[in-house]
Amino acid sequence: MTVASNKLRSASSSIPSDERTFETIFLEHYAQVYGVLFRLVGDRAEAEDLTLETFWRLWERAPHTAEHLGGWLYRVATRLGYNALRAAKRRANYEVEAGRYVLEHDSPPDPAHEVERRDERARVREVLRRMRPREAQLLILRHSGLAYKEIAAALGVAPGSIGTLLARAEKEFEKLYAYTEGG
Amino acid sequence: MHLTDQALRAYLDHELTAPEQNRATEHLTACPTCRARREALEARASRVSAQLAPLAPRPNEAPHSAQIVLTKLNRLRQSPASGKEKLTMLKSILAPRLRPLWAGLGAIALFAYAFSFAPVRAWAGEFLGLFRVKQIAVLPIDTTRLGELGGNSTLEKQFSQLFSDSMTVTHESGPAQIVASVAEASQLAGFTVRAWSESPTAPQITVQDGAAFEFVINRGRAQALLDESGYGDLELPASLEGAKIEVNIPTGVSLAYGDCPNPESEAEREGSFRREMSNCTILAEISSPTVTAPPDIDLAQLAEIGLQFTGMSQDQAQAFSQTVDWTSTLVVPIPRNVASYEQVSVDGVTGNLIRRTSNDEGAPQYALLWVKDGIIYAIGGLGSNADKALEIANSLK
Repeated sequence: MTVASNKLRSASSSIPSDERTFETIFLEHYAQVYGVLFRLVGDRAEAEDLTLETFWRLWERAPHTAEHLGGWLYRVATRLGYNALRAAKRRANYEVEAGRYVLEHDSPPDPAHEVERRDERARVREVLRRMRPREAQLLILRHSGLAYKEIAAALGVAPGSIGTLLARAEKEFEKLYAYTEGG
Repeated sequence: MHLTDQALRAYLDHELTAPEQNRATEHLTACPTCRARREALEARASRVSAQLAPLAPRPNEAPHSAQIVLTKLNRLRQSPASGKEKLTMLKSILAPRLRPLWAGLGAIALFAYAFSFAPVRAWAGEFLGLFRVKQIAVLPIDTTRLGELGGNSTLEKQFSQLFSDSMTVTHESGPAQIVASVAEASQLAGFTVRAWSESPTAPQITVQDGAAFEFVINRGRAQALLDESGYGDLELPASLEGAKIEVNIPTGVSLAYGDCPNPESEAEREGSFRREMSNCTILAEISSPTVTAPPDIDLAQLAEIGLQFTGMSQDQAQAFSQTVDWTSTLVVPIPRNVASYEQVSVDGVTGNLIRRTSNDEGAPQYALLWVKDGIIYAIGGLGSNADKALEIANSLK
């Protein structure tokens, strides 16, 4: 157990007003961490499990200072999610994934639209798999609503480089997206 | 000097400091080259953003409410188990997931897709579900209006939030248990389980532990949401405020004949037959779920509101509501455009045979539902030929 997690644990029993307790951190970030993970894995149960694992790791090994917390949390979440995304690649190619989704989920009121959406999701995730890990993670973090500073902390890069990296990642995404269109 | 890609991209996201942003704006006014680059970057950023948009979770893909998860997480943190054990337990704290109200009836997908998204299903459960079941009525509904509502994600999120905030699980359903005999299943379920006497093969028998939960209704928030979603003409009775509704789903038993979905798979998916399971027939039996509500709640009035919420006119809702005894009728809503039903004579009583017509999404399915001696029976399977269901139903022992 680290000093920091000791601090976190004692914080949850007696709460100094300026101390961020596990509860506050959890409530503040839960939805967004889930959002990042869901985008990466595309499955509610799996995203929930990974969200829990992320917060569990926070509990076990909290970083030293509160200001690094957000970055740490999203770094863990993104890695877990990205690994799961890559693992899914080993299970099946994306057409199969789309098919599996159709078979396993209940019928929606507008099937044609729904099938389209599922295919689209599978295609986008396939593009993310083909990208360099950092660029894929960057796009997901940005599109989950994180600010440059938070993204920089999560990816361990300088905040002043996010714009450049983002522009590059978007270019790469678009190229691969067009390429993936034909299958 | 021209603006860097870094500056331009950050400029688009308003991520520059105020002085930087001003300088960039000034430069862009003066420099056509950078303006063109900015436009190209912006166009690409918005295309990529649109392409990534489908990955975002939809309201029916929202996670469990933060409070519920936090409570469980805290409980786990305080448990005396070792760190490693806790990590294993962690994976299962959200599973088995809370079954939808009807899931106790067994692996029949019809129930699961009756409504377009979870919170509406939950609402329908609240409004249509105050009962102890003595009979079943099938209600074809037009899902167009609910579908329209489904397009508004902020509202969906609010419905979903209201629902999860209002609900407390009082008895969590344990894992499904596979048992060896009908006798054992009867003992666990607390009623005499009946099986298909002429089956060529032995069924796989699964006993699913019951669940209980309660809602405390927040009338103000619910009414505000109704107003916002264009149902302002529906007024929830004042007596609803703070009303506590308790739902208790007893232990159920399902008997699977043929090659069937794995009963241990995730709850939400349990209902889904796959194409290759065309020879699977599932017989589900459960004694009536009970729902208790304060006596001053007018069930028929609530039912009418619920019916209008699904898209019925006030007159239609009133007419239907009057034909139903809301304290004892399980109303099974089916989407008008993808399913049909007929009343059939089965097991000595009148039952309902629901057929889901074939569409792009999957093979046709049927479900036969009836109530006898306080037990709800359901037989479901793939295919358009439901004769087998009737044959099974009429030879239960």
